[in-house]
Amino acid sequence: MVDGLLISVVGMTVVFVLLILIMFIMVGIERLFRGGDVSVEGLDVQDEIPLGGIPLWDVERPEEDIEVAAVAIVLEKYLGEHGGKLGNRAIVIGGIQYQVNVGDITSPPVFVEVNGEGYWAAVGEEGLPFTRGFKPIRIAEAKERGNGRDWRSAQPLSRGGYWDRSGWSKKT
Amino acid sequence: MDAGNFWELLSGFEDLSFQMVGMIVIGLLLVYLGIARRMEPLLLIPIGVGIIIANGPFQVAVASPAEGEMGGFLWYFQEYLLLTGIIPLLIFFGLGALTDFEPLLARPRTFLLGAAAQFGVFAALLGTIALGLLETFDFNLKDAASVAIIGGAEGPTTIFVAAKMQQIGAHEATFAAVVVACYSYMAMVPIIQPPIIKLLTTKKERMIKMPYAEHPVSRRTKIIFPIITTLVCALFIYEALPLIGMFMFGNLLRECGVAERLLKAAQNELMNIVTILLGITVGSTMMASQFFTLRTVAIFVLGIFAFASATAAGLLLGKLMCFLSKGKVNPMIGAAGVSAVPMAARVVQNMATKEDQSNFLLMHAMGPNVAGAIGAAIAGGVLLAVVQ
Repeated sequence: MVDGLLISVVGMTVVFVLLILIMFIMVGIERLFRGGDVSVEGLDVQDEIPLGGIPLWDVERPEEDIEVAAVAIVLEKYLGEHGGKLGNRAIVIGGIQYQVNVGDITSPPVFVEVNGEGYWAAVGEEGLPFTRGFKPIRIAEAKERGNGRDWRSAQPLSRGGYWDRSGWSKKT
Repeated sequence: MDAGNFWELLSGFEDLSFQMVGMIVIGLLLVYLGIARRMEPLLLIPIGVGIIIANGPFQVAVASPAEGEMGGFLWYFQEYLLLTGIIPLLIFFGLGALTDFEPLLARPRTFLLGAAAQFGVFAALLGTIALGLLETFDFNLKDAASVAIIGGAEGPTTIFVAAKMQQIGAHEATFAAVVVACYSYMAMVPIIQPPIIKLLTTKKERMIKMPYAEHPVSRRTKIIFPIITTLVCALFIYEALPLIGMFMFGNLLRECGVAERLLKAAQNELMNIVTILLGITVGSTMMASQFFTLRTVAIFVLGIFAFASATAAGLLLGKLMCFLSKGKVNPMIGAAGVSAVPMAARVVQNMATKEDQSNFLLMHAMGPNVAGAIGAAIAGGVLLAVVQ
């Protein structure tokens, strides 16, 4: 019985010590390879923030400013949904700081500035703009408001010549 | 032509005993549970068939080779695949290729829950030693180590440790009972764990939500993890190296991303073949003469005690983490530390959903779940190193 107690104490100690050792090694390695968290000034995103299904931590050291512009738009959208605004701020990705300035994302095309370089961004080749929280209205309700005059399409019509159909974005 | 030879066709009936019939009924029951109730069919069907074949008349399938004659085919499976540890190691290799350690690496604190649940191993060790003091059971320390490892709730680890213990002096009958008890209780985790979880946690605790957030672990970390774990185990507890080494080798194939063919072979073809061999061989170890004994009953009782105490220990550490984090950790995830991947994690998820439909704990429970698999292998290594 004494043997059993001794084995149990030693056994549990070894299991805990080894797993804790592995845990600390892995935490250290992960911190080393993550190369700094993505953060936004004034906003703590050090810890687990879902970003519309896009894992922010996958974004490592973008090679071009245009990638940073894309990240900035996503951040602006996320912060907008949570009552914040990115606006003209510094963001840090993979330990590198970028000065970004995102225009009004509800009024496409969106103007984004990264370290002084400006970009126009739109969604999709057809240039479907962002819509401001469209909420469908019941037909009866619409009639009450004035024979359906308040109805608006979920996808507003293109804005003609104002819209750039040549691609995603274009340097100004 | 000798007419007497025709009677040979019926001689099988002469050799049948009630015990053999009993074992065949048990085999049929396992096959029934696998097919009709879908309880671990990939294991219970081969095990059931193995029992039926091994307990046939004259037990020809498991007969050891006599002078100038070949033995039964299952005897070779037992000797060369099971007792040598080849099958459990290959199974562990396949499991490594199937296991995603990301939930664990994303929340490293869950390593602790996997460690706590190994208390079941040592609680069962003490329980078996205590029972061994009674002459009726006659358990020695090697038997106790064999029974204890059931608490790890990890099939390959259990077979590996129990086989080694048999080679150094555990009773032959212990091995079969331990292996069957382990796999039976792993299949019964959804029945065993919920009452214990309910007993040790309050409704308020069970309703704690742990928001799931995408927190990907870098690919380099995932590649380094199996290598580091293997090295740490090699240095500190070399007896666990075969198990951990094969487990992590399979995982390395998964994470490296450049060995797709080997990975697919490990996950599918190899795993399926080895599962068939494992099931039928384990089943064949359940011989009527050894199975219907008080010792077997005691092992089954100790097995459930091991599972229960492992679950309780995980839950208690979960409660402590809940207290320290001011209610941010749902203590139920501690119950998943008993391994039995992924069954224990599913149980936690089901219980969370029962309390609150919008509570999703599965990914949080997978962390301790896979940590439990590593913890069980380490606990097995400790037993192999210490019990001589």
